[in-house]
Amino acid sequence: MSDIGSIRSTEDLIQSLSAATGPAGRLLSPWWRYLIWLALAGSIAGSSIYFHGLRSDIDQLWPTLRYQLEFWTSAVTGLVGAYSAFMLVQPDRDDRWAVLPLPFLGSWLLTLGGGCYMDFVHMGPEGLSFGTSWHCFGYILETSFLMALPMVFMLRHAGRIRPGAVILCAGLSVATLSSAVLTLFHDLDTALMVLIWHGSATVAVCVFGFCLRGPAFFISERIAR
Amino acid sequence: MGEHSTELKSDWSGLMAAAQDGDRHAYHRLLVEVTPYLRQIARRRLRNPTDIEDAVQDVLLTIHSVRQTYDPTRPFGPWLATIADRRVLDLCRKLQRRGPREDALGPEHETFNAVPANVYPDALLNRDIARALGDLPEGQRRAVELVNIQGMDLNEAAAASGQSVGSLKVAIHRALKALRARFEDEK
Repeated sequence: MSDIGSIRSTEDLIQSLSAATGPAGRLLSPWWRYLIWLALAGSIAGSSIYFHGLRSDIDQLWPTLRYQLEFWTSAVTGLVGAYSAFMLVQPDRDDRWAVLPLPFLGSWLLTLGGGCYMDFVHMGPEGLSFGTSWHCFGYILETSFLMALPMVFMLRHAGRIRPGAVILCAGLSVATLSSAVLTLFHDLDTALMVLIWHGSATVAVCVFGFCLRGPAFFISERIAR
Repeated sequence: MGEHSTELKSDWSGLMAAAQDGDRHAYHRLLVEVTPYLRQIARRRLRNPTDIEDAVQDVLLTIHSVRQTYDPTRPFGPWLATIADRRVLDLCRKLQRRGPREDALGPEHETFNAVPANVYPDALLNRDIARALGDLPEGQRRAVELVNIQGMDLNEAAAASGQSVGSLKVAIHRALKALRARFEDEK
């Protein structure tokens, strides 16, 4: 591309681009690329669970509706967010894919909000006690980063088309998936703590991603070349 | 018109598919054919011809860098239109951000590598003098250029012009007198 930088007229540019072109492998469909990424993210999540081990009370929690809702709304937000990101990379797909994860995000937040209410009903004011959990925050950031690395590379073509929408969907996806994985081996005292620490980590991942989208896509493009 | 447009787009789709397979002629033809359409999209948001051309070139570069995202089983039009819209919008935003911090350059800011264009610091004055010099008789103009502008001494100028030193002195004297009279009149 270095010879393209010095080109002045559009005709020269066209000449140069067509002379420089060669076979360009077509991308796999968004669905297949999504499945490939899911396999990578699944292996990261699986390794993490293997390393930390499942929480001791998982047998009692898993059958409960509240735990199932918290886990699945978070996980499905992540799965839908990732699919939306892969769809948005294709320039000919509708912009509205970007809003598809929002209802799922809303249901996750609603579930956590409902959990806060249930804690208050069962435990009184103590149910709304709030403590620090930097471990949760750090884990979500760390796992999100690991899951985001292959994802950003696979989404690099969005850098010049829809960088903001794609990176927000991707950030939401990796953060909520990390949050779902975290609930499998880490326990927080109240739903309010989950809402605040998991929620703020998700916001942080999206904000970091959005601010760093330019360099992230640029570096991915350079690596791909 | 609609039918023609559909036919064109389906042709573009075929050209793009061929380009993805490495057909340079198809790619060249496609880029040439889409360029007027891209200019049309750029004109909807931009006024300055240079900005329009910048936008078109940016879209062409983007098409080149994301050409593997095109799926030949889908229509080419929406793929192209989205890329064009996004890149033009991006350029508009950049121009809006940059606009308040930049001043447009006028002719007085122009400068060139060649020495004669930079002999005088003020381009406007340069232009007036050049015009006045151009109105002088050939011999006087040549004498002033060699001695007063290029800085030759009389012997060098005589050798370069083929005139005698005496003729040069007379020519310079008359030329400067004419120029002085002209600029005094203009004041």
